[in-house]
Amino acid sequence: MQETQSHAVDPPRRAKFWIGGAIIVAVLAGLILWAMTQPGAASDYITPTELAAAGSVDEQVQLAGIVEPDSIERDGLITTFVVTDETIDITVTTDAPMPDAFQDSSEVVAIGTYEGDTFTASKVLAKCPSKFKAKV
Amino acid sequence: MTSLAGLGGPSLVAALGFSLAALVLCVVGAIRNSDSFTSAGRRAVGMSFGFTALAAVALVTALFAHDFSLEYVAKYSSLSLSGPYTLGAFWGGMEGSLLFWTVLLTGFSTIALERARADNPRLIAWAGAVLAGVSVFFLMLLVLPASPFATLSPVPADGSGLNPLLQSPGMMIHPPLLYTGFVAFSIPFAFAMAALLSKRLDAGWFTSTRRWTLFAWSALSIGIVLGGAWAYTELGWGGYWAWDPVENASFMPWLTATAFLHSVVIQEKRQMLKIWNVSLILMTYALAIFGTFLTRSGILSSIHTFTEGPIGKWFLPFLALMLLGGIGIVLARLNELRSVNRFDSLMSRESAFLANNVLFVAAAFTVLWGTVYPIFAEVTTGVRLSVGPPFFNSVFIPLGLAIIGLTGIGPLISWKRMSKGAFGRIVRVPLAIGVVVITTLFALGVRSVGALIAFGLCAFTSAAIVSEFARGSRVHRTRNTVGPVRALTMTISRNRRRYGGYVVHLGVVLIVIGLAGAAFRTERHALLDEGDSMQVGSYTLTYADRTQTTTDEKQMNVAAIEVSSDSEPIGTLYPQRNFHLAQGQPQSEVAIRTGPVEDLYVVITSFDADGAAALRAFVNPLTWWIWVGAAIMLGGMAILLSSPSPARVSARVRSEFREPAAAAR
Repeated sequence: MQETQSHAVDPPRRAKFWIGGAIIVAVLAGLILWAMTQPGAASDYITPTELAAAGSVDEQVQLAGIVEPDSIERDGLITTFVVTDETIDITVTTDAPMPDAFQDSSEVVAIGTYEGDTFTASKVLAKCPSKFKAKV
Repeated sequence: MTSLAGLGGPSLVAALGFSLAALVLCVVGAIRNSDSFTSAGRRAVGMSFGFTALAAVALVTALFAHDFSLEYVAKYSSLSLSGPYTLGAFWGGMEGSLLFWTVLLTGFSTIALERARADNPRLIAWAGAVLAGVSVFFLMLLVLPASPFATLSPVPADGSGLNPLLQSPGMMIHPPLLYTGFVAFSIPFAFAMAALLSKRLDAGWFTSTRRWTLFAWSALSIGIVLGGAWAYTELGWGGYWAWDPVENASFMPWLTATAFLHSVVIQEKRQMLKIWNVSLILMTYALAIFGTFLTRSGILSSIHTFTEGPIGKWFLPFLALMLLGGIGIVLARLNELRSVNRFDSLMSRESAFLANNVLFVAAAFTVLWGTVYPIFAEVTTGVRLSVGPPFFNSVFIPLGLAIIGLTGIGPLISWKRMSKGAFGRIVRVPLAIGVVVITTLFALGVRSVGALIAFGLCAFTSAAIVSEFARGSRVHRTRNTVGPVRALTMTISRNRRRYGGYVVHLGVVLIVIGLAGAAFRTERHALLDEGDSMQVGSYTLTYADRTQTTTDEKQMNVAAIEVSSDSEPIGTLYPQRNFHLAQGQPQSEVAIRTGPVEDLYVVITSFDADGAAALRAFVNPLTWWIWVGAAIMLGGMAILLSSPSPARVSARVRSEFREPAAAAR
């Protein structure tokens, strides 16, 4: 391998380069790992069966399932409905605004906490009952 | 079936044949260095474009003819769909959007190969081969698993129509712009790979494709902003960016492309970072393909739908082949790619550019991490999870602020080396302005640390950019004795690359100001009977009445919301809650009162049985500046694109004379 003079990288420079690079990578890795521990950064999806088995959860989870037909009840801003995975039904109550796609048999994700047989959601996401592909 | 629609499938097969022929001809032309093979390959690319375009015409005609014997037409359009949105259905579904992609790809390839400099036949031959290779892949998708010309039997009387959310002017422009951006990166990518394959590793490959890169980047930038504008005006949750995987898919290549646009300048001026530049364009293109794949495969919701999806299993091998091939050829050329020069000092424009690159690539990696982490987690541990905005915001706020600060500092530093004293003199004024802004805001009661830093840095960077314009104009004023306005236009038009870039920077700073405004967002949600009022920010909203009308497409409910500020009536907003009949789906239409200080954003989330309206209202400070900043960015892009390409002679002089001269230093 032929190297002209300007190609040569003297050892201290190369060491500096690697140390600098390592610091940058370490800082970024630290930043990402720290960010992953922020509340709401990464939250598990959980099915009604898994939630019932867990009893109660104190941290925020995402309950995923199907809206039980004819279970939606509205009282002012409070919406109550049943999320099911065909085995276990969980009652969800929320005062959050409901998405347009929320209806009987929608696929929903309710984000919130579970205590004493009621899931209290702070946010509800919904997907239409697979009528067309929505880019939402 | 209309006769033209019957031509669609065969045209795609013909296009695939011509792309395969182009691939073989260009490879032979490159290996034998034969002009006749290469120009035959070039013509085959043109033919492939012709047939792909014919297929596109066939699909668009079928959409307008409401030919529901085609599954695609039945799925994405309907009799009641209005004209422009019928055209929008062309790229509204997977098959159509892949066809759209391929028309652009073959069209851009034809133009780029036609216009490429003839004194470099090998480079063109290899570029033609790479472009033909990519089009072979997409045409295979269109012929085999994702044909837009699949037929239905029995033929339905009406189609299911386009998703009402996609029926908005923003959605007419946003997807085509994103695709244009993604596809246009094919050209610099192909020329970079061609430079590696033909060992022409001077700046030629990116100076000759500079306009394509800028064009791709501009289209992607505007496409992303329009996507945000669409989300803001259509989705009704008060925001414009949710770190949704589909959004991330367009943002990742934008980040690496932005890094690339900056780092090629170092290679051009100092013959450094050659490996880095080819790697960046490879990353950008891989991310663009990955983005197309993410958007179109269903991998987003779950790994399971991905394997069930028709095109997922095609994309991954293609992406792997592209990455392995690209990385392999970069490694094989490592010796030829060594830098001629090296970094002289930490206090230099080169270092600032390098820091910019590190930040942008780190940002791209962060988005990639957050986007694919759920897939990895599901594959490795079986746990389904999602990564949300708190993750992205935690990383992006520090990275974004560092980038904004650097945007101010970078242009002030000179190439090679700058003394600390000289640097101190030049940053003194912008720095003072930044400090004044922070102090003033603090005195006015702003206590959010992130917002204070953000506004301070934005002030610093704007001041630095303005001082650059002032410095340039001063030279023209004294040298040519002209007025200030004339001096400013002369400054910009004489050095469009530099000042066009600064205009883009100014637009970015305004966008960041708008984003920082989100720290002060307020939101209220209330159930109002007719005549009731609610408070949000300094506004009082009164639900006056509701008007109901029905059209062929939808049942409309328009609420009149009277707005007053400090008990002064300032107007009426008309948010709607409509029911789309074809889709059987309700949809809210947002009403926004916008301005430089703040937006009042009102949306009806539901009407209950006795007519009470559930009203959700937001006050979004400074959001207006995002769109203004984007418009200024667009102006900067126009200035950049209007700059003359580096002349042929000067490019040759650079590569033949300057490099050896620099090497002998």
